[in-house]
Amino acid sequence: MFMPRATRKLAHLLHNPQVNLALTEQTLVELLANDLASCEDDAAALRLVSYQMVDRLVRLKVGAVSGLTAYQFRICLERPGAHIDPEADMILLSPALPATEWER
Amino acid sequence: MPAFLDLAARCVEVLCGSSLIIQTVEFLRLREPLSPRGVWTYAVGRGDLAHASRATQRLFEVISRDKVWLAHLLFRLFASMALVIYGASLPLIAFLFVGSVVILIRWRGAFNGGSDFMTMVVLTGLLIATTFSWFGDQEFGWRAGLIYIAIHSASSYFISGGVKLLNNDWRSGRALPLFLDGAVYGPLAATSIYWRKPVAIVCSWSFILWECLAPIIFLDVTIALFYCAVAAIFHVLVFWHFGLNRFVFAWLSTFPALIYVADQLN
Repeated sequence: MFMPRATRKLAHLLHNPQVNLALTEQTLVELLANDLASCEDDAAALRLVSYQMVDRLVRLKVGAVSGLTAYQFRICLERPGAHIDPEADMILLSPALPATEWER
Repeated sequence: MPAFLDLAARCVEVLCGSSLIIQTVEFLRLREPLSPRGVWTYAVGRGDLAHASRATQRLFEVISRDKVWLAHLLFRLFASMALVIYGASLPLIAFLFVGSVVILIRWRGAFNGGSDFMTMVVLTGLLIATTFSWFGDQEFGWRAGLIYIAIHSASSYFISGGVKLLNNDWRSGRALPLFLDGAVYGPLAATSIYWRKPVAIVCSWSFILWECLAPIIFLDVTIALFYCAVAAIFHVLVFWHFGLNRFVFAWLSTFPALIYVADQLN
């Protein structure tokens, strides 16, 4: 589950691009979760537009971590009000990907 | 045109134009995610258009170039300002309508969910009004456009309330604190009053009943004015807790249509 957080400001009523972007990123992850439900196999999942975009999103997020050589991400479905179990709630585990390629 | 219809039409133009200005300025700040370095780069996003014709794919390839995208957004900004200052015309609204569709496709169907939908509803209403005006029947066009907007706006509240009413988590007050806890300005403090079940139940049922009562807007213009005032407060609260600033202005631009239709029905 990708849960963006931000600091509230009254000025955001008129101009709130970063929060709106964060919410759109969250929607993107949720779209991937939906797409995965109708995916036949892992290879098909890796070809999904939503997967490729989430991969780029992860690359952007981990790009700030210095000394990183590889990364891997997982998509978990969170049940309302329950704590996430990274194993039981996992619906996708990406391959290990080299961090050096993150900037295309 | 009758004075009240003219006033309602002008209010929709000003509020919709202002809403589009706010959205466009935000989009101007959000060009990086659509660029070749961004998450929504067209190099990946064109996979969504695999079923489209070659001409459409080519069109989006050109539109997605950074300079073309920037030019489109700047034209859109000026068009939105023109809507506020001079009012609606068919070429202006057609450009804003088509531009909105293009923007939504680039963001894979929606950028900001409900506010995108309501912006399209208002632009469709304006498109109906200006199309009939173009062919000489201005009064009928604006009546039809405002009725279209009013039906969608009222039904958006009613359906939202109905969905909550049918959901046990909303009826029991369980959903509200969970939504607030997971919201962009969350998590809720452990001491927040929203964790208290009676408070959560009262708040949840207030939303459910108020939204389900949306059809009463059309019973009387005073009720419509009161409903719209409460709706404005509701949308500001939604912004305050969930960061959804675009929802405030997208729905605000439908209120003149609601008030106009309520007046006409009585």
